[in-house]
Amino acid sequence: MPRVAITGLGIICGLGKNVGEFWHNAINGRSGIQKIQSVDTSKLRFQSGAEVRDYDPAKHFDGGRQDLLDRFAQFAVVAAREAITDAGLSISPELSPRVAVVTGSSVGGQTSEDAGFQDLYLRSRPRVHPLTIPRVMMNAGASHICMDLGITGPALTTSTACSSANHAIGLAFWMVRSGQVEVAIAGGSEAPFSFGLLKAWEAMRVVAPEYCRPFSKDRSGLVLGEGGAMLVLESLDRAVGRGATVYGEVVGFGMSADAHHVTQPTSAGPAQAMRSAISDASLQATDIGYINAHGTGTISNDATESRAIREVLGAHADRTPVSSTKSMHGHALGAAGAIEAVATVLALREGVIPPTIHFTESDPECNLNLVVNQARHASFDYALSNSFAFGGLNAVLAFRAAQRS
Amino acid sequence: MDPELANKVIGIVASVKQVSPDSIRAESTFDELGIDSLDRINILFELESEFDLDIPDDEARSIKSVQGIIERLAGYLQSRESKGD
Repeated sequence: MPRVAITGLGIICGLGKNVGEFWHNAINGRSGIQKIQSVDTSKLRFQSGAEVRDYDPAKHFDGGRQDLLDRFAQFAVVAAREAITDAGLSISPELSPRVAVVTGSSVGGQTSEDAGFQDLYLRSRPRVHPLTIPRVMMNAGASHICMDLGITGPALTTSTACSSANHAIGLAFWMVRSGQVEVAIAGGSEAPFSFGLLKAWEAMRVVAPEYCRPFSKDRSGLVLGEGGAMLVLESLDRAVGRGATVYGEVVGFGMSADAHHVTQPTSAGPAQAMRSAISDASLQATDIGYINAHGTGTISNDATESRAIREVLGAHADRTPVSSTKSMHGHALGAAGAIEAVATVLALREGVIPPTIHFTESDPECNLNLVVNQARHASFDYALSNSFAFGGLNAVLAFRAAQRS
Repeated sequence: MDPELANKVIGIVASVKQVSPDSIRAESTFDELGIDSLDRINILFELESEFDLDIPDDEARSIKSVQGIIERLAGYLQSRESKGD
């Protein structure tokens, strides 16, 4: 089977509006979490979010096109453009049908949907914007990437709540590895800051009022984030043949379903997905040198994920650094796995593990080798990135560092 | 303990758990009643709607029994009365 190289990265999120800015802030332990500005928080129990600040759609889309794209689809296109430029790929008419686009999104065009419902219910207007449907559809990110870059190959969207982007990247990885396509653009995007959706999250009682402190004893929940991130995948031979920069490789993908409870996680499902990813990569658990955790900062997830990591890694967990970058870029739901994939690939490449910030106190329930508050230098060859979703759907990616010359 | 308030709370817990109110005592803990995280947020939602109040997350987390709900609610309702709300 061909090896699958990562040759391009693109990102826009609360921690940075391009890869350079994101990585600089990540390894310096900066927080992208601030007081929510796009929504009036006076009627919310929480005030914080990781929004993309000072984002001007007009810089990326001309007037006519801007109207067609919800914020979440814009983030998908902005990230895909950066990734494809970074990869130095031009999509020729011959290559175009051999390129796949797989995007993840959990909630789609929330901002547009909320605006439409406000028109109907609050303002008693008789109609909504005629483009509400194409703005809201969850596949809008994939569709607009294809239109923007002239890609005519297989394109689809995965929607598995917080695992969406990992499922997207995993499926794209398998498509490239099996030779179904030559190149894939894969990732996720999300823009969940609408009043209606924030109220829904509030009612779940899993959102922290201010800070996200994954694995910390005083953690009190997740903090929502937004953004988009995309990876360009192609066979290693193809990448080397055209002299592309290889950031690393995707080497394994594992999925599982808890089949247990819609919101209460188990350790068995996540552990099974981690084992599958490790096995798909033909690795041993002891090969894993870093885990970018799902680490939402909820009481339940972090304890359960810690148990799952222990179940899979055993005593090797003592030696395996774990961090949750959600403490900095928030939980961007269907984009989370893609943002974390960028963080994981760069950690492998640069030998620096971005930290879990706002960590104050160890929790015996989260007995892991945690990288807290400050980045840690470490050289390692393989890493996992975990995503676990409400509904009990788990997706884990395994990455390998590019071979050092 | 206000028996009317206790009955109302027990009624809400019973309807969320879809069991007879007779099977629930004020002393019952959530663990004893098999109340999981989803039941908890459903109960809190019903209580907030019924009594028109807002229960913060940290307080909600500290409630672990029917008695706990009743005491917390009594406190809320009293402070609302004293404010003339």
